[in-house]
Amino acid sequence: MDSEKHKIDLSKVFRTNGYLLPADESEVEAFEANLVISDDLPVEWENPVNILTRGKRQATKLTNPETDQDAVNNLAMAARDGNTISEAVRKQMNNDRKNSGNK
Amino acid sequence: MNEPTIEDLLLTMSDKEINEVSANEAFVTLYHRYAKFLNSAVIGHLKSKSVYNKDFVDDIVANVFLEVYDNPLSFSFDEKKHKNEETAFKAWICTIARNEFSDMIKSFSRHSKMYVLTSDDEMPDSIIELDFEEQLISNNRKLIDKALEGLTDKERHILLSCYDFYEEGKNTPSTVLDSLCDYWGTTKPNVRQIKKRALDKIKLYLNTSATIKK
Repeated sequence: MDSEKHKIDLSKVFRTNGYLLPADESEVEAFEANLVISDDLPVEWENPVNILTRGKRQATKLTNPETDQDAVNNLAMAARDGNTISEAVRKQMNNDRKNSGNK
Repeated sequence: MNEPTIEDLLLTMSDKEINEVSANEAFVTLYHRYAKFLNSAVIGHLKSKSVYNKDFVDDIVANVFLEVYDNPLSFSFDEKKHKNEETAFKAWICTIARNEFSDMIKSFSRHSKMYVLTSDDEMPDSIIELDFEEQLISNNRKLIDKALEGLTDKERHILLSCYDFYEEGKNTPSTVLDSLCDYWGTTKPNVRQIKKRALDKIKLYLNTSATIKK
């Protein structure tokens, strides 16, 4: 029947097709059928004992370059040879911004 | 000689205070058997969300195996419950990896003190109604790829992140929403809107392609 609706668990579909990590054995089986084994080896592949000596890692924070204002500020500061913006320059920048908004 | 089973290796690791050398050797064996699987799974997972970062993958994989070494007896193979030892173990390390993601998100969030489940942080329902049976998409990566290609990076990341922490009957943890707000420089109401829009696009694409096939 054309209008018949079927209930589908989308989170399971994502897990079995490899978009999300599988949660149980049946999902692992389906997941492995779609899994592409990466050529990139884990960094500790040659000496896994390093994992034990190094201990728990604080993960690298995932940042979006488009919204990472800290990174933008750091780059701007690097461009000024590490100097902060002087009060006079900041005042001038604010005035310029205000004036451009009035146009 | 037969290769040691996963349980043999875990048992050897559990004796690390008595024989550290053997425990470490067992760890290396287990790592070399399953690290490629986990590494590839985590890479695929992050790439599908368009947030792949090699350092992040290495951190997750290392922390998962460290957790296995520290608590080797948390896993046990039960013939009545499990189909086979290897898939059961893989499912277990994937669960540890998901918990690692969750812990890391909590630590990243500027609002981590607000780790509460609030009623307005609702997840899109995982169960959706479509015009065709689940078998058509349950093992059809090409179709799902196409459906996800129709989303923007932001929509795909937000939708998959929400489903990543989906638990039936529970809302999206606030920390997940907070981290998405931080990552995309947006607000919770916007995240909810984007989530809904992404889900609508997926449903529309899947129903349309099913109609074409009929």
